[in-house]
Amino acid sequence: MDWEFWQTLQLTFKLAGLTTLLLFLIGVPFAFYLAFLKSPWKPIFESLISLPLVLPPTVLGFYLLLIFNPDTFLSQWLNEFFGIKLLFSFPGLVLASIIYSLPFMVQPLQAGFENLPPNLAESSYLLGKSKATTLLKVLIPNIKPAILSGLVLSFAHTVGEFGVILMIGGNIPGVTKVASIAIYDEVESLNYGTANQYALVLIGMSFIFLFLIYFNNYRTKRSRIKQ
Amino acid sequence: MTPPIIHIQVSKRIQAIPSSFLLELNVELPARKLIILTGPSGSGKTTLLKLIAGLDQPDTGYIHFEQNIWTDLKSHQFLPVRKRKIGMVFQDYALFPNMTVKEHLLFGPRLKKLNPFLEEILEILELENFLNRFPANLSGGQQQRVALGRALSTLPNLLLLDEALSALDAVLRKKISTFLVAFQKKHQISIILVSHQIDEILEIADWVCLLENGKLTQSGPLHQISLQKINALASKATLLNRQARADGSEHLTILVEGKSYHLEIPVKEAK
Repeated sequence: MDWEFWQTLQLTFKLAGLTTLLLFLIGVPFAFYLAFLKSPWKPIFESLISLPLVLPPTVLGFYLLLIFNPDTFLSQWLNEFFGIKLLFSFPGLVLASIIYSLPFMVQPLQAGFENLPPNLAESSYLLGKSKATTLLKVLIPNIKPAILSGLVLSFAHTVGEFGVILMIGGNIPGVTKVASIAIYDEVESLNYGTANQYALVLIGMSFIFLFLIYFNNYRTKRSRIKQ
Repeated sequence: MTPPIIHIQVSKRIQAIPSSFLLELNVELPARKLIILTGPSGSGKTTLLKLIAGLDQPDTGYIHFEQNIWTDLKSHQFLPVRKRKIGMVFQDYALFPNMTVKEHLLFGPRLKKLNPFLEEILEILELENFLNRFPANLSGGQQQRVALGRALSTLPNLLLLDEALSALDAVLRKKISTFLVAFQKKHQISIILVSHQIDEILEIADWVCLLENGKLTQSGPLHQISLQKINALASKATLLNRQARADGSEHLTILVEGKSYHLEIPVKEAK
């Protein structure tokens, strides 16, 4: 296994880790808002967030390609003030991954909040607590299985990203070349052995993550039965 | 000075099975007293408590607590729940699964350690030995006492208790109801207790409200509540003795379910 192999895996996990962390910070308030929203607009917001679940990744990639184009206002502004280029760059991959994996974080968290008894939050408000305190001290600690699901699914889904990354990131070693792209690249070059090594790492990792979720669900159910 | 009151004039359609009904009342309740709200199941008692707490909004009307406007749909005023200084015990207790008994009492007042006030509450509620237990490891009665302790911990202006003593055995219920009376008098807070227990109504209520099918059919000091209505709540109530005093007041002895209760009727209301 050469240096590039490890560099690609490192970049893959760096992208997935950073995306998951940022998604968690964005996803919690989003999910909290949606879970307690009583508005006819709710299905519209939910549909928008869930779009990446059903869209072909190339559709999202295509529009992100247009938005990340250096001629757009957003790209120029980011470049001017922060020196960030979105197209064919790591920050661009992170932003695209956040959008692409948003439903994988928001949906489990929202379900977690919705499954809590409503009077749990009400009890906290009655004690004079703000929404932020209620969220941090009462609600989040009681949806740990949902948080684990959101974290694991977002991480795994980001690792498995292909279409979006190929369209806006390309295949630059050490910058945008992640494992899923590397497999495609190695197969095209008929390096089946290296492609297999990448594929085995992804299979092993995906299994471990899914096992974590199901084992946690199993443990939660068992502890509920015991109670 | 006029005595402080809680003025509730609200209407709200309640969706119930098999059919919806209208909760509609216009009542002035004495503040800083212990009020017992009673009535058959499904008559709107819990909804009324939620309207008072601000956890639900009426379709029309207003709720004034002493000098404060809590809800007024006409002038679009709605005081947020967290600013009403209410302690509430829900029927299902709504304890925080992630907090211990001790943490439940420290959470509201934002304390790091128990103070004498909280220690007294824990002692009365007989919870001192369960401080580090989580709700999942408590019995129903213990959970109910934790919910009551949490509601009292912030020393609220108004305590809403939705059948908050129902899961307790008779001895403990008597002890805690006596404590509630003393607590109410000492701190001059208002308490609205939903109860179906006739002994609670006769022993601790300053004021009784009877809610039937969304309408308040009785509201007044205990001695103004008719024996027929008490009969409707208990299996049988009998007037054992009516004793007129020299100052014009009266002393009634009522027998309910084999136990006698004494009611004092002040001078101007005695007939």
